[in-house]
Amino acid sequence: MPRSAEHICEFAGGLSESAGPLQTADAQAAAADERASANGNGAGPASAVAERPRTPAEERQGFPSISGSGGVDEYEGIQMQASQRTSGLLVRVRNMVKHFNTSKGVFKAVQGVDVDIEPSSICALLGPSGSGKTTLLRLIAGLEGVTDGRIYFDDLDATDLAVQDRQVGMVFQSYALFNHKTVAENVMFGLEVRKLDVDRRKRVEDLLELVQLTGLGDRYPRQLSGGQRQRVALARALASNPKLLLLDEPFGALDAVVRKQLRAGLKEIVQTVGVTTIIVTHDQEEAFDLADKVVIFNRGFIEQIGSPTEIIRRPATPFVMKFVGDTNDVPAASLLVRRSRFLTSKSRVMFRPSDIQLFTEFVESVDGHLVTGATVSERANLGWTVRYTLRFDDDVEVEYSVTREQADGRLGLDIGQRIYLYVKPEAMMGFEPEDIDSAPIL
Amino acid sequence: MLVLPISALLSKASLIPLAEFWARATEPVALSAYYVTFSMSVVAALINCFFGFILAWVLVKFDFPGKKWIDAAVDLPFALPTSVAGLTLATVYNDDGLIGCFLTKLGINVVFTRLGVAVAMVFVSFPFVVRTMQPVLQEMEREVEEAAWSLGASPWDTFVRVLLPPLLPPLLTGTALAFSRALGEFGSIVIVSSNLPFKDLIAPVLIFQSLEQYDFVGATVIGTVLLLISMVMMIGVNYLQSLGQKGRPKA
Ligand SMILES: Nc1ncnc2c1ncn2[C@@H]1O[C@H](COP(=O)(O)OP(=O)(O)OP(=O)(O)O)[C@@H](O)[C@H]1O
Ligand SMILES: [Mg+2]
Repeated sequence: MPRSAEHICEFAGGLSESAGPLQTADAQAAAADERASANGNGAGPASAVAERPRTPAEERQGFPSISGSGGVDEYEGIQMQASQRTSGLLVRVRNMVKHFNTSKGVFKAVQGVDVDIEPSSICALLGPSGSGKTTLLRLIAGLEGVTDGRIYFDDLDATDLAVQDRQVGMVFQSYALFNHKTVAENVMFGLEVRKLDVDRRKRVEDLLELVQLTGLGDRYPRQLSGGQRQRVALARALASNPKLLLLDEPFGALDAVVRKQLRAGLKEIVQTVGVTTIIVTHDQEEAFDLADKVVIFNRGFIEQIGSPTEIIRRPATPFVMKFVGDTNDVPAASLLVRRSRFLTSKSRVMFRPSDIQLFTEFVESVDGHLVTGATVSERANLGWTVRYTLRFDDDVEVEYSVTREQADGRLGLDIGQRIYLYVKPEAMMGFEPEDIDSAPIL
Repeated sequence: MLVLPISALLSKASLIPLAEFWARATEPVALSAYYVTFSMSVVAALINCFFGFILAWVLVKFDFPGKKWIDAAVDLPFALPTSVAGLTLATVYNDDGLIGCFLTKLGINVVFTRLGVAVAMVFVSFPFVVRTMQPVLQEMEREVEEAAWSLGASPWDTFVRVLLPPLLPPLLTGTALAFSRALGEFGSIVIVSSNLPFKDLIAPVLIFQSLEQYDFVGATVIGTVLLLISMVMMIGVNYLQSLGQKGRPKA
């Protein structure tokens, strides 16, 4: 499995820490807390903005050892005073394994996952259906028991902590609102059961304002639209100031327009509140738009962890390459691959249609790239784009898309027309068919 | 279908002079019969409410071997002719019956007592609560429960404040149905009880006994009283239910 550079850095850091400047780190943190409480005033999500989140580096220095000091005793509960809240949690998942016992045998839903989620950042778990995203989220929430591995919240080993004690806010795909309670009662529920000493009515009002539902507190969930219910669920999850917000396909049941609106709203809200956020989605646009860090899952393994740009620009595995964009898939022995001088031990090669350099006039080579001849065999009209199928002389076919404007103008191709193209070898990736399979392994 | 027999009974009752009606309706035997009928029906309904809820919960929430059989067996009281039910109960709870022999040692007599009346009522009305609760429980999302936990609610808090409230209206409906079924039960009780006035005689059996003695007036009077009381109770239950629904949107 690919490992991001951060893992390695952190591992190296961890080694030096054990002997390292533990005292100083703690002292620093304490000083920071004092400063914070000196200028902090009152509760409320908005005042959290002023807080400078502790940087990941600072957080890590505060880690004496992975399994050491963190005991349940140190758990300090929900902090209602924003001034006392440092920031979101640093979540670290180590070697996470989850097996389900089913009637057909053991099903391996998560098979050894390592991931770090920096405080106050947004992390998206992305992957095909059944890849284990929800399972990982539920493990972090404490709704499933782990088969193996550990979960750390800051320096606390949270693996065996009960759901109730994890101070996470959770938003379910179905929203899971309490239908017999009004919107305000839904939001207040967490404050009541945790017996938090705050002006509950005021807090509920603040939260409803935050999610732009002011004035709807007396409605029942059934009287709201899907998008409004989703926001109630978000307000409810944020009510007791969790340090970690978990969202399982929060916009899954909504139409495209509402999704986009809510997505923008969500990003703003979680940044305002400063809560660490993990969002499960299989909408790539959503993941890339929202997240600071995207984790790509397949079959219970992590394929790649990285920033949206990194994942788009430098897919680490054939699976990611195929998953995050259009690809052409040709045999490694095909004319095109050989003429591109791309060497691979794998049986097939893929590249993006957008990496095709196409010429309508014959040329032998361009910038040292040998050009391969092909014939336009099909033209598919897809609205704003036009997709051509190009057939090489060895009967291998690839697809090539242009915008409608281009197709109407300079790049319009006719069926049967002879064209010439090359693909840079750097844009190619060799793979075996099983590398890109996403069917669960039983 | 429904109105005709009721109005027939009422019109017949209206022919009886009010003073005589009142005298017959408040005869000590009749009063005791009403009392036994209603008190035992209430007891039976409460028992059904409690155990029916638990059984429905277990059947929906847990998986265990033999679940299908238990689920099917719940309907048995509906399928069985009530006289057969009475016979079975009388056999089982008899002094030397399967359960009766244990209870006798403890000094508890079921057959030919009020307890027997209650047991018979519980038996014949058992499916109502289970069957009204099951679909509602099935519809309940597991995620609602999990959401409550993640908000910090203990399992008990979750049960009382999140799971139970939406279950109360159907529970009330099921219990009310069980109650009215228990109220009307005749076939099995006439076998299980000794049918002695002031002991374990219930109103429906009293009507039957009056008829046997060609006392049509008495039968009509008691029948009318039963009818009125049942109607008042049904209206009461409906009212309670509407209270439960109050403020809730009609969706
Ligand atoms: N309680 C369970 N018992 C048995 N198998 C389970 C259980 N929960 C999940 N699984 C299996 O684990 C696998 C991963 O499930 P998970 O819900 O994590 O997928 P996902 O990535 O969230 O998919 P989707 O995008 O469809 O929601 C699935 O194949 C699923 O069938
Ligand atoms: Mg899922």
